[in-house]
Amino acid sequence: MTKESDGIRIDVDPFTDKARCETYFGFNALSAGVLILRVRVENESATDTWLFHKSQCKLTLRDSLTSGETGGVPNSEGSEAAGGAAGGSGGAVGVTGTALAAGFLVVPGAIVVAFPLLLASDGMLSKESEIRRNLAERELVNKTLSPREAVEGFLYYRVAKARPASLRADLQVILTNTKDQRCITLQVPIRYDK
Amino acid sequence: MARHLVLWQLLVLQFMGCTHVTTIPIATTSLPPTDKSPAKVALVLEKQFSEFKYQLKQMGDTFEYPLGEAFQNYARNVTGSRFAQVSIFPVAPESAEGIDGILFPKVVKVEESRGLFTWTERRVVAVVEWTLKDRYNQKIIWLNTFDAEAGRVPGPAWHVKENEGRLFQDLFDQLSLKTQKAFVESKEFELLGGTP
Repeated sequence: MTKESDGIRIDVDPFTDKARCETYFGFNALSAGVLILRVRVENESATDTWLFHKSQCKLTLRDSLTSGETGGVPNSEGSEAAGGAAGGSGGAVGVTGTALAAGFLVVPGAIVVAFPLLLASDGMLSKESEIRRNLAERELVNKTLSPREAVEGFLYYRVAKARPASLRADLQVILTNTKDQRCITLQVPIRYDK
Repeated sequence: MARHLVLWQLLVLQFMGCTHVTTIPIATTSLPPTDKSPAKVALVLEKQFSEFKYQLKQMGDTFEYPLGEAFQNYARNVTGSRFAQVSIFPVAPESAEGIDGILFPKVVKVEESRGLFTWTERRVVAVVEWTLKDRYNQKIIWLNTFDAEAGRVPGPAWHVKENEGRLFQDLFDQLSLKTQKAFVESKEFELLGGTP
């Protein structure tokens, strides 16, 4: 999905399939209530420099996926939103870990039983933190785009925890010209049918 | 009754989280020499940056890393490698007298992945945003975001501290080199100090 205006080109690719989300981020994002968009903003102008700021991106959901919040600015704590939602593993880790700690205090013999569980906890904990780090590392960043320069990365939005049959949304991006402070607005329609 | 009280206290203590503060000495990165710009810049090290503390919450415990000093050294180092004259301010200077541009670094985030055991690799990501503002109207002239990632296996108990130090040193070295490269390549930085 592409939009071009005033020498600016924006490409948006929604990550709606489970396989791609798992390959890139290690979890099924939509089921966890996170909509991931891969966004590329390119300045094709030969003279102008534009300021791109994430806070100037707004997602408006048209139908499915609509939760309490209808879109909004990207979740800057995307890693937290998704990390916590990643298959509910976060909560599971805490409970297991605490239970194991109590086991060590009361019955030292329980170590034998607890050790495999502790290994499993380690796996879950490292997976959850890896998802958070992955999201933080790949997030779209703020940048001034000099002529022929581009910025690429991912935006994360909280949505309803349901796998939709279709997706109808618009991503609005506002860029500011650094020379004359002129603003331009590009609206990229996002359409997906299962 | 007293025995029950002691047991309850022990249980409460077991479930209470502690804060572990770790100070890591991070050496200033040695940067390749570059042609310094004669422009005069103000480097604004706001509290959020100069006193930055990275906090990691894990299983009820909080691990705190005061990284403010390391971030300050990094900012001074990269700015000093690009500009001949750098004045440091804790807040944006009111007067533009004798200044060609104002630089603001900001820590966007520090995030990491780690496991429970010391054989699980620990990877840390740091993201820093730099803004160059006009000396007169404070409008943004240039903005860029840099990230760095470093990983290391903590290893046996007697190597954990040493490996942790190396991990953060790698992180700041990468961040410094990336930032300096962008400072050198920026056309806006080149034009700084010219006619307004």
